[in-house]
Amino acid sequence: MTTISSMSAEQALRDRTGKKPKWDLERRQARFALLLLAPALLIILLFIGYPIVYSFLLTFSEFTVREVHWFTAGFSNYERVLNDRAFGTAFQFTLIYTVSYVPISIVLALLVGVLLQQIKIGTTFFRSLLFLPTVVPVTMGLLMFQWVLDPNNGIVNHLLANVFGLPGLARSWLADRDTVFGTLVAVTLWGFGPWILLLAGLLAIPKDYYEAARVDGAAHIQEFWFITLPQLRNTLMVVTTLQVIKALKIFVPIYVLTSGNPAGRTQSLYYLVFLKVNQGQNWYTYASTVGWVFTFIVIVITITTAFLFRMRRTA
Amino acid sequence: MMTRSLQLNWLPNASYDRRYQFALAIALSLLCFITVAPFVWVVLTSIKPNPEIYTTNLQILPQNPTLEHFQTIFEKGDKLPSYVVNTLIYAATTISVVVLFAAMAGYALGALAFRGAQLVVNFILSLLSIPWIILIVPILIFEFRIGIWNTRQGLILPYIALFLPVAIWIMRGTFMGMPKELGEAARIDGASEFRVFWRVYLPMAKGGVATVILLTFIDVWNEVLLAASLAINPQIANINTGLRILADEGQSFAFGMLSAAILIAMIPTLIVFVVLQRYYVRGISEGALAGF
Repeated sequence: MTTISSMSAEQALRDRTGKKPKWDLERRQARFALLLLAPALLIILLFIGYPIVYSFLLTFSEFTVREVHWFTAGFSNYERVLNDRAFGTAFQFTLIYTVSYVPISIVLALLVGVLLQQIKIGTTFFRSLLFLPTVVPVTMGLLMFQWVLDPNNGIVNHLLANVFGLPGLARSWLADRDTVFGTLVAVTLWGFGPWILLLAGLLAIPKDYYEAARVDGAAHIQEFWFITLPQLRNTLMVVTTLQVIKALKIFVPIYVLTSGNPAGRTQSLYYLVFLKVNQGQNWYTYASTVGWVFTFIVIVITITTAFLFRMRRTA
Repeated sequence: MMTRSLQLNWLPNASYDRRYQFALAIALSLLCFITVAPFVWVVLTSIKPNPEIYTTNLQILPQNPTLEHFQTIFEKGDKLPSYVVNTLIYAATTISVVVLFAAMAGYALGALAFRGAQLVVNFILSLLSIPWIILIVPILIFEFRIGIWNTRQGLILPYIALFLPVAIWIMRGTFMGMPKELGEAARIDGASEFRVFWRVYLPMAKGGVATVILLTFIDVWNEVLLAASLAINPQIANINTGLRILADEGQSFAFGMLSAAILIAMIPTLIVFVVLQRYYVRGISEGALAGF
């Protein structure tokens, strides 16, 4: 049996080195590859490719009563969106939220990451507890805060009023104009941002660097400043980009907690599109246009950070 | 694994190091407390009887612990279990199709040589950063026309399409890391291309498949945007839009029951995480690219 199989192997090998069989194999592989790709590509083209093109063309068109009038609008949709107050407010909210959330989340994640990198006792215990917010589905976590922050029976107001003796501070956190923004930022920081990704980067730093520094008598602060931070720079830049994009896309916390209120102060761009889409067909071109303006913003940010990233690396 | 390698660095004689470790432990305990505290509050609420929840004389610990909220959910509140079941249906169907299609496409792009492969790879990559928000209007119009809007398949089909690019990316990486010689040897032995894929390479791709399963599960379980636009019928609502409906109904759905519901809704994720935990970091570092 062994002789037979080795003989056929030899035969096949000779066939493969010959010109025609190799070409045959390539063609066979190409055909098989196409067959394997077909189902995935088909559904992707249908539900992503076609919608992308459609919605882009829609921003230059009019849509009335289930009827598209292609290219009848010119740039008027963009004019309408850019002059709209709701868009301005949403744009401002999204920007301010991103600028507040991203730096805090990175600093907190870095803090948690470094603490977990350095600690040698109870590592699994601390990691498991800090991992909890990742396991809790996003909506559940947010509803949890709705209950914790409930104006009448929530624990936060109870502690403020009855335990710390500060009843003046108790308020309706998510309905109050002055506190709703800070509360949203704080609630979305539950879980301390992307510390898992940073910890993965931290654990990849060679141990020898720290040992060498310790032999030289470096303090922990110096270790952090001269080893950890420079070694983590690439990870930090990637994670920051991801956080910026994530923050720009803020939607679920608003959907669950505020519905864009009080008085439309917490409408993000994502939430604005969602709102308009569900207001009916008259808003379809408006919603698509806001979506595309948002996409242009994301593209510009991605390209800029990629450019900065490359510049830093070559420098 | 990690703990052991860290312990090798332990210097037993340094008392300074011991004080440093103590300080670290204090800081971490504080952070853990902040993380766990709201969760503990929900657990405590779920076992408090209503008079203890709505009171001016609030006690942190339940005085008369009860399971009535859990009972109500399963006896009268037939809604919440149906939301959980809906989401499990969405997750199971999406995952099975995504795993199969992504394994096929990932194998084609990662292990087979053919002209145009790079083009397809670039196309898939460019899809990863598309904000989903621009897709909703066309998908709505499309689904109105073919009559699947507000049905289960009307939600599952976009899910499959939207979670496929990341999955293909992960599977492609998995197959690319495998030795080419295995396939060549099998081909020399006369195995068909399909057999090489199905019998030789696919069984080795378990890690990639597990990562895709975990990632797709988390994504489906957390998805709100499409579910809130494409499946607005409460009967087919997923857990997220469903709980939002229940929370909006407010009075009929009290905080005791809401807390119990949150805990119940966590169980499936918890199970999946416990089973597939070790694929998580890989999953988020590769899946983090994906748009929502």
